[in-house]
Amino acid sequence: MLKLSCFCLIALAMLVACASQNGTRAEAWEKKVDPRLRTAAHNEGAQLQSVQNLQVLIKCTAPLSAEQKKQLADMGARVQAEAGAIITASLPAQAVTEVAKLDYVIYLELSKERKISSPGN
Amino acid sequence: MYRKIFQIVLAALASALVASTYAGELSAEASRKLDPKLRALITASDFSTGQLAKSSALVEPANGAFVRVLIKTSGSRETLQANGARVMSVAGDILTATVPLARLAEIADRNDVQYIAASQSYRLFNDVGVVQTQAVAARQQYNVTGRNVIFGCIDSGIDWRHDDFRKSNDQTRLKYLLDFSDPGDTNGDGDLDGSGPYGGTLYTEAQINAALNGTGTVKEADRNGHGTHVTGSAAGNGRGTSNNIPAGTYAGVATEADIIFVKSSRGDVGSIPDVEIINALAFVDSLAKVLNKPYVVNLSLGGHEGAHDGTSLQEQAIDSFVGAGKKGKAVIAAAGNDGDDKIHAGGTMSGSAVNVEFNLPTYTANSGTRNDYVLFEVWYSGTASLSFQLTGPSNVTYGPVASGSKIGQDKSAGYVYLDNASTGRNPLNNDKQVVIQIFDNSTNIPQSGTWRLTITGASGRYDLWLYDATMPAELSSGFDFTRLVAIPATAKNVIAVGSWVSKKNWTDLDNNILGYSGLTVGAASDFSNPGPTRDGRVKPDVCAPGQMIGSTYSADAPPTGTNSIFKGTTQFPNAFVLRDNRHAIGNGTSFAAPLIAGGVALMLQRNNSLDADQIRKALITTANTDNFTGAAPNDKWGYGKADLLAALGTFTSVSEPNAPTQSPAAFALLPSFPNPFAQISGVQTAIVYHVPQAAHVEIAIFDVMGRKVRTLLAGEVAAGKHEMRWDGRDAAGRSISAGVYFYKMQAGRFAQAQKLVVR
Repeated sequence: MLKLSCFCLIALAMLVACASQNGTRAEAWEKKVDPRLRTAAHNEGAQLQSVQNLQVLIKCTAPLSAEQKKQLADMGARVQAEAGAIITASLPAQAVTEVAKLDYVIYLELSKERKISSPGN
Repeated sequence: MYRKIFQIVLAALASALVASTYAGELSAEASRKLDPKLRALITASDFSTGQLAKSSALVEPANGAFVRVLIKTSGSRETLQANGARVMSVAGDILTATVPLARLAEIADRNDVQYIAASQSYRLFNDVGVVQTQAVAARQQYNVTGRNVIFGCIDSGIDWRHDDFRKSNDQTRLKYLLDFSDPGDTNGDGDLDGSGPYGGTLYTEAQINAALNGTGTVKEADRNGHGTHVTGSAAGNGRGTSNNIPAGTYAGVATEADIIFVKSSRGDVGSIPDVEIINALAFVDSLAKVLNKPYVVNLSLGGHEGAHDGTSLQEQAIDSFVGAGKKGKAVIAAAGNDGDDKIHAGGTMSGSAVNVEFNLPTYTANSGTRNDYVLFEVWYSGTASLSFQLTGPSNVTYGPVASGSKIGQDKSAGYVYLDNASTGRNPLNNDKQVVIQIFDNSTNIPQSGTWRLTITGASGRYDLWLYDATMPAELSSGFDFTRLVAIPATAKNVIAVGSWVSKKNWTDLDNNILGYSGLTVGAASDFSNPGPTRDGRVKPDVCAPGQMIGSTYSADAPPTGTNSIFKGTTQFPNAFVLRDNRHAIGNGTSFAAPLIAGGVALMLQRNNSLDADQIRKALITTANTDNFTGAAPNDKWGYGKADLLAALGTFTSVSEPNAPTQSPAAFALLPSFPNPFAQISGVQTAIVYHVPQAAHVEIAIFDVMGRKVRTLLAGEVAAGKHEMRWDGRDAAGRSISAGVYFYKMQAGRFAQAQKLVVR
């Protein structure tokens, strides 16, 4: 009985340790997605408009092969430029999760808006 | 970045014109045909005589005064010589000549003479910003002008008609112009439309020349003015002046560099998505390969959303193009202009709570939701565990939010989304990232007043940036002025440039002498962003003049233009337009960076094997220090004031790109560009091939069925790197169908094919 209680307590402690405050442990693929892209994909942040395709940068383990490009295209991604193992692409919001789950994808980042560096005359 | 309005304090109207008296020896007819300076010379105006002497138009040998002139005439060389003119050259109906001053009126009186203008000294420089980087001395000492080097730029747009970007034969200096704004995202799906690479519209050199000649159309325009000004500083040749301002007065640094320009899809409003920056860089990089030329790309842009440590994907992508061992390539970026803005807070936790306060002023909310906001990012050590709580002006609280969690709460002070590394450490740098957004997700708009962010934790450094807001928000406590160098100037292989003050005033289009209060020539610009980067690297690398820089003025960005950066004041509506109405004044690190980019083009002409590390080393080891910079390196100045003359002296000359002696080692057929290739009138794809020794070469286009569409080349070719263009037509001159094609090269036993997609 004591052994069973200890086991339950340990299991409970492990569950608590694994849980974040909002109640779910981050999936491996979630760690690969920039927080702003996560909010954009779920259309839950500020400043966002509901667009079909998100402009993203994707870091892969190596420059993409033809097969990998086709796989991304099949998911709705449109690869634009390649900078070594980093690509620019447009991606349907609903494909973010699927792309992040690919084993050769290291990280996805939402395109950021930069401003011209003039403080004004 | 936040726009600052500088007060114009010196407004002495200097428009008192000297009354001219041309009576005397000159007839009314002759008077009308003479350049005012020549008229004044004849009537012995000391002021004009002095000007002409300085400009070398007036020569005074022992046998009497002569003047060098240009004469527009329907007469012949011989008839003018009869009047004592010594004709030097003839260009259509214009003659250059030396004329005795005493006979100038007589020549002007001739019926076949339409006009006589004094020869002007063609200065290749004058704006002090260019001079004070020692660019002029570098050009002269090393005989470099950026020739055969590509200057690439992504910015608001370019005034492609401007004479500063045209050769002496009036042909364009732009090799390519890619306009991401036409068409941009026309259907709202988030993608750019258009047939250009990555979307948009691509214009070739031939198309731009056709437009200049009136036989074609280029729709691109710079309605903001920033990109034209930046390109002028780096690569303008200063040809385009008027109102008697000498040509060359506002020349940039690399006056003969080739130009490849990319206009951002949101260039008119001064905004550039970083995906477009990478696409533009990839575009320039691929063209440089095709053209076999080195390049320098200028990025006068930036922002504070990111880790500021060189690890964002944008920074990593830029670093993949340039760096150690990547010869003949460099990227220059402006440090940014937030140096005196309260947008950063940072420190090391020691167990006590830290409060960072910020103020949201009273503002008029936009209609709708999610469009009134203030946005922050915080980064802290991956080994630390910090907690964040927000308190609104009416003591409404959000959180605390512990490390590894997030909230989204709508309360009376607004909606707060706070993600405190909810998925753990960021895999790119192993640090923790916090995203804080306060916005209107309902009728609860972000409340005006003082907000407080309370950070608790036992240890670890944190850095917070307020990176965007729809109202003029700023930190009101806990802020500091470090770690402000903007992204992507923080990238590891990018050369970051800050700004210093090189002059105090200028004369505007309406002859007002204008200036800014409180400036000290030689000092760093208050707005110039100090470093270091969050990971402790020295940035900016160097500084260059960045205030009151006179450079090329886009005709599409007049002061009355909605998005023009040259808006004046009520009192001085043309305050930033210079007297020639072809150049304008700009302030910011945006205008310091291209002076260095132009200097790098000079370096790459002198030695095209330099990589970005070597270029950076040349710049930082030769930068000057003085009483203003203090000991260097430091956060504000980096390694000091750039000295291009000294930098060019640190390496030996290597033969220019495309030099005939540079024969390739082997046969090769390179990927064409652009590819895919749109069948638009005037658009051609460039095919580059290498021939190591003279050989019979055949290059032809085939369709997917293996049928020959057109033979592009069949004949003897000398050793070297060659380029040919294909216009998408078959042997009969008909446009071919869209689809996949191949081009094949055969030279003896060598054979190679490349794929080409025609849209």
